[in-house]
Amino acid sequence: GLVMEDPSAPQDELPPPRVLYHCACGMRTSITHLYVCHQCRNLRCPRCVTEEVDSFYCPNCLENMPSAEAALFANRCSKCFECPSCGHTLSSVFRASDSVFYLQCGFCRWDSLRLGLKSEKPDKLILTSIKRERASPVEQGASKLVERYQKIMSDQQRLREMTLRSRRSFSLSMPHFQHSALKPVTIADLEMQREEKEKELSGKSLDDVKERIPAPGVPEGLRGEFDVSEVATLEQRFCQMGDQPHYLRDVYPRRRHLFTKRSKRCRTCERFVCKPELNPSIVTFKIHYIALRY
Amino acid sequence: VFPLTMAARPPKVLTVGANAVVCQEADIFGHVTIGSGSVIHPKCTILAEDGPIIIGKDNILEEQCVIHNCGGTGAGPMILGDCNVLEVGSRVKCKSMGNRCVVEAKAHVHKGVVLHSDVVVGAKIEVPEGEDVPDGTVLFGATREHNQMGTFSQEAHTQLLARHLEILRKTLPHFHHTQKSTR
Repeated sequence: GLVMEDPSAPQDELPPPRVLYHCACGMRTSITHLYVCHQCRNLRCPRCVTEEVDSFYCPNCLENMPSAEAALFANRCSKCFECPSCGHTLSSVFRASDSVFYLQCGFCRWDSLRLGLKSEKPDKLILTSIKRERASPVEQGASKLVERYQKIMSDQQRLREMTLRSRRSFSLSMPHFQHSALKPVTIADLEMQREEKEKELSGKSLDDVKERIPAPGVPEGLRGEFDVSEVATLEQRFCQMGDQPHYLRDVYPRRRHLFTKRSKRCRTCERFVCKPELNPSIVTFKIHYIALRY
Repeated sequence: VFPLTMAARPPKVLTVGANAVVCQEADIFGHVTIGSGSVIHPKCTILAEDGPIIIGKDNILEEQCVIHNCGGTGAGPMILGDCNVLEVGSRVKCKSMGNRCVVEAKAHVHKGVVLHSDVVVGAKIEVPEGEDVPDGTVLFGATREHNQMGTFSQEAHTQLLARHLEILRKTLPHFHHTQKSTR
């Protein structure tokens, strides 16, 4: 309908708003969800506003991360780990009897010693985890794909710059477009590719498949009676896409996901309507033109 | 903490072990024995209603915690072992508790429960009546999941406890009057 409720609040908690305001696009919302754009002199509902990610920060250590670093660490904090059994943040603990650091959860008392994850220096704990993440076959496959597409993207970028320059200087640029990997793809091309693929596949049958990878079955220990507290839940298994372990004892701690601070712009005039502070521990905004203030 | 009529309060018969610190403001009723080295914070309630309560050595009973022997008339003694920590607001009505247990804030251990050693009852957990909780169990989470606690973390617990006890035994008597054994 034309009434927008708060998308983030659970449906049964808040009563529906008594007074609805018209946004410029025709949507009727509560005044709490509306922004004001000064240039357009109009109300903007959450749909009339574009969001951009401003900065990344770790919700636990409240450390700001520039976007390049965030991309390098796969959008996860460099220092904070999540407990595999309950999701709380792990703290590194020192055991005096053999001067060894290990990770421990304050909530469910999980510790990394049962996985053998311990070292003399706390930094090494982090390094071993990162090495584990990078070594998994899923990660390696994904990083190869990313590299390949980045290369294609940079080639396309260079081509665009060259054609722009060459257009300005009126020289011939046609030969470049004939390079097949860098040609702009049209719908006709995709259709042709699809037909070719279909022809290829229609001739074959399942018996032609040379290599069969057996589907991973349910491990022997999980048939019949077993201790439920040892088995990892689906959520815990999906935390480790590489091997998706069945047992909780094989689930390793992951680094904590970063949260984002987002700025919002008016869709029509591109002016900022909401811009948060860069510092994660400051919750006020640099720009905050909300309807409640007027 | 909970209403008690004057008539319902059993007379205090307290035996305090050596080096134990029992604050004056701790409400103690009935036959209670507190082992050596234990620290009882003010506003802690120990109610030996249906039988005596025996608290072991080096325990820490924090503020607003309630230890209540409600095993029914003629019940045996309620025994708490050594090196336990009952955090703020916890309510313990169990039949017995072993050593090195931690009952976290606002947890409620109902009557008839037997907690063995090295048990951690998480914050706001309700341990239902008559449960037998084996060694090393950790009860946590909203749905009361549990898992086994590693033996190594117990080392950390006893070391930390020793340090806490040292500090408490030194500083509490500076700010509170203490009770001694009744004769």
